[in-house]
Amino acid sequence: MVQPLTKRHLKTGKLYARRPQVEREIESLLQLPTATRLARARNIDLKPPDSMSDEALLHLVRDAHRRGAEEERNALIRPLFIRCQSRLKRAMPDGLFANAKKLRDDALSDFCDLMLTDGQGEIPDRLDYYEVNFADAFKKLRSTVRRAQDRDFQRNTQLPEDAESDAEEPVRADDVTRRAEELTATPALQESTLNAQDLERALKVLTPNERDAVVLQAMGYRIDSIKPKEVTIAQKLGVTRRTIQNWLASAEEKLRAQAKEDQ
Amino acid sequence: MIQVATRGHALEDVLYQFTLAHPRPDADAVEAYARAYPQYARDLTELAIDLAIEARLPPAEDAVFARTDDDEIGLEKAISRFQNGLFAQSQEPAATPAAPDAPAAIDPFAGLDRTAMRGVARALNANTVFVMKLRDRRIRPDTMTPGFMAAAAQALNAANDDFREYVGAPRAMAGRRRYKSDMKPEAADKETFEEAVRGSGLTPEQTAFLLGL
Repeated sequence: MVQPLTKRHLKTGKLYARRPQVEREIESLLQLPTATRLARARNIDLKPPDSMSDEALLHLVRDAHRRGAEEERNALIRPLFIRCQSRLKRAMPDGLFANAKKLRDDALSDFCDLMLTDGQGEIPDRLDYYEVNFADAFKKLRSTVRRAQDRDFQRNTQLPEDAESDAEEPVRADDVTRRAEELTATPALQESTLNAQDLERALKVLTPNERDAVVLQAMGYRIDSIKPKEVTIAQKLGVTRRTIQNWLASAEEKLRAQAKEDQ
Repeated sequence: MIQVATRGHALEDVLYQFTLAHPRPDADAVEAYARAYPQYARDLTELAIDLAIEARLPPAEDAVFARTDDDEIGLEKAISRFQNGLFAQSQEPAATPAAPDAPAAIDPFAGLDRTAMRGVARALNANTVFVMKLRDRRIRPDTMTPGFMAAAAQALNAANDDFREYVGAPRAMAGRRRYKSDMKPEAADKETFEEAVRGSGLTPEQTAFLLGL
């Protein structure tokens, strides 16, 4: 029997479990001779139906580590890291994110640290999430790395005196302001219009604040609401409604300009 | 039911569990989690935005990536980091393992979004510039008055000792910058409490209030 996961759902207290097919895959892999298992792990062509899943490969690394099988663990860690690099290249390609290579390097380092802390510390079973669904858990790690970069960006571009004012942001006396007012009445960047192409442009040309406002709107948040309990974009980002209007109007202006440039 | 008591660790679990439950989140999913874990509302929002971005980008699962020299260098670096980490652990079995993830002093500012930061500023009769100086440990704690220490801890809903320990820790270097200097980089010197108060753009009334605590 494959060693069960120990991570529990915070809400229900129930143990997390691997997908049944992953459970079966690991069972059959553990019955193979070590050399065969290693050869399967080293196969980075993920097309054939018998290719090893990321969840199973991760389990084999953790299992070898727990057994003290250092040689086996060291042989398995390389293909695991190569798979991580492939995922990172797909999700953080050059040209789409600023400093994409650094983001990828940082993410791989963070994953490496997760491997090193497995079985130790306050949360010894964090990697259980990756055995449940490697692709999704890896998204959380990428988000952490991107946000660290955003915070660096904001630290480097914003003096303390420029920080969010306690007062309502003044109205901007230009076309952007007029557009900002219109946005309240007719949201211009709704989900249907935020297609992949718009999003790629958004990632390239918008500031983190503008990008966050645009995506929140695409997720269904509103600038204004007559329902007192409905959470607005301004509340989510901790700024005033006027600031959100300005960010969205500025974003729209930039996206339009970029779209023209792309044509 | 939160399994781990410390705020930082619970945060990690909340974020991972949100990701597994909602890899393509909408506003309803975010708000359900934000209501259950209000202290992490900002972190959940940021994560949800990133997940929404990834979900909307064109799938690249079938794309074939040729490995480059940079990939090989990155791979060797990661393997070296892993092996060095294992070696360090084997050399210091009694030490707290895995320094990168070791629990740090409780951060009373963790999870505070801008609205909450403003609330802290109001509770202290200060402004967000001054509160950010506190958060960034830019004020020497030995120059803070006991009255201010207590007021700040209360405004942050933190224990006095936790607040004192936090502001007394060395200033953190920004994020993940890499340095080429031969010297170990250090954050700039801290200000005195009075310098911080006078240099934060506070009104005369606020200045007098804070210095009088």
